[in-house]
Amino acid sequence: MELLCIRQWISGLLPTWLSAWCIKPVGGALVRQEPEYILLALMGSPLKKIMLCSSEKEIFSVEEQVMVQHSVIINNMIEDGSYNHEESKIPLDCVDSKTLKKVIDYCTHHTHHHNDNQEDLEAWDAQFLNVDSNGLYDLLMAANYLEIRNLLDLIYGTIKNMIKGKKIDEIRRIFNIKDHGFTPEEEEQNRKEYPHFY
Amino acid sequence: MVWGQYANFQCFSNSVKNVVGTTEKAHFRNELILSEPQMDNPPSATLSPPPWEVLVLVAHYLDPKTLAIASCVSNSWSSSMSSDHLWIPFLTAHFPSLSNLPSSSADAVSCRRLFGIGHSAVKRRRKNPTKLKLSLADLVFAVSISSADSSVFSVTKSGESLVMDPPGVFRFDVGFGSDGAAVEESLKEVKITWNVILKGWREVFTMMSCKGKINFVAGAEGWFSKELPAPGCCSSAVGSAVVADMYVGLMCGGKRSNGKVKVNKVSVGILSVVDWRYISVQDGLRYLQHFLLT
Repeated sequence: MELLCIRQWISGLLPTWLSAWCIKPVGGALVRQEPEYILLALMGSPLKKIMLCSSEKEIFSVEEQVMVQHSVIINNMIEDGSYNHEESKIPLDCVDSKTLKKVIDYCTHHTHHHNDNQEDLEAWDAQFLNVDSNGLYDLLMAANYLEIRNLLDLIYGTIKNMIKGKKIDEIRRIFNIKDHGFTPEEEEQNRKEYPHFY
Repeated sequence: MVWGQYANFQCFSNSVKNVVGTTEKAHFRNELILSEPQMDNPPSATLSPPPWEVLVLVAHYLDPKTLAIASCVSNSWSSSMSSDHLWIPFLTAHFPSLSNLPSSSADAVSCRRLFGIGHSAVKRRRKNPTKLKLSLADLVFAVSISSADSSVFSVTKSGESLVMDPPGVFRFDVGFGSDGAAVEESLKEVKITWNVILKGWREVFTMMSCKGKINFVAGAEGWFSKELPAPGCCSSAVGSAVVADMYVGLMCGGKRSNGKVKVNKVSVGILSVVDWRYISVQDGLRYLQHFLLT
């Protein structure tokens, strides 16, 4: 059979989310990855796991596909080829265990449930973000560090909704800001400049 | 350890990349609408003031209005949300004519302030027209054309019987047919007046009162115009952009008139000299309302 036919046959064997992977960014350019290599890589070890090490030195074992699909940082690290599956673990000193666990939770759910309909995913996301504020901010910093685009969008959107369209006093109440720290002149000037925000 | 160095370097460079990357994408992302579950929790119980790192990250994601709101919340928020490098892209995108002001002026101004005044300038320029209280039925048009010895044409017409020509604009046919006196063929000096009277003789406004020349030849046409005063707050030195405009059409006076000519058609209107179009009926009525109803 011709090479083209073989490739089409192999592409047909791959699940759709992986076929989409056949075009991936490598070194800033979009490169078509031959499907047969992906299939071979998969056939080698279908549920390859990687180790992530939190700032508290706790090790988390995660499916490689899950993290690589969501986190650009981890994807780059694995692709560079310097990650040795037998020995290495990825140290994430900026992320503590509790937050890392949440992040892994998010990525795993979204990988396994990406075919669900939009409302279910959104409901799960809303439930996922039902944490106290410090947890939310830690999640944001972790998502930023790991470059997990959809989690970042989610948290940015939530915080933006807390600010957008609200009056200043309401925002201060929501974020528990007891003392705004402006001098009376500054506060007066703000009120004059933006009277409709108060 | 190689991994550690790699990870830390990536962390730094990617934070910077991420921050820059999200600025461009912020305007094109769809927001996830999560308001219901989040807002049900009493927010004050669960949230604490965000640390500055969070503020800096979130600041790059916000649109101008939300950014302005956020910069008024507290001192720490203000320092993250007011920085020029956040506002310059908005200023250049929305008000490009103001974007060179920060560098050119000796007196320093923040881009955030410039954006604010640019925004209010747009609102002030976009004036809404005043409410229309006058209608054509309240008006009476009186037009007369007279030569030295006789009246060539004279008509008084109530507003509701006026015919818009063409429809929708403030231009009306006030006379046609055989109303006026026949005049011998000649070039005559005439006096033209056009008054608009508020019904019941309550007020009058003289649209046109001028002298002109009409060449009384069958088939000839005459156009007359007179600048109208500005209905605004300035002195008379500041003119308006409209004129009162009159068209006079002549025709042969008929078989019995011995070659005399009479006025066949007269149309009056208000013409804008900016684009040489007749103004709309509503604008014409608003103009007259200023002089007749105040």
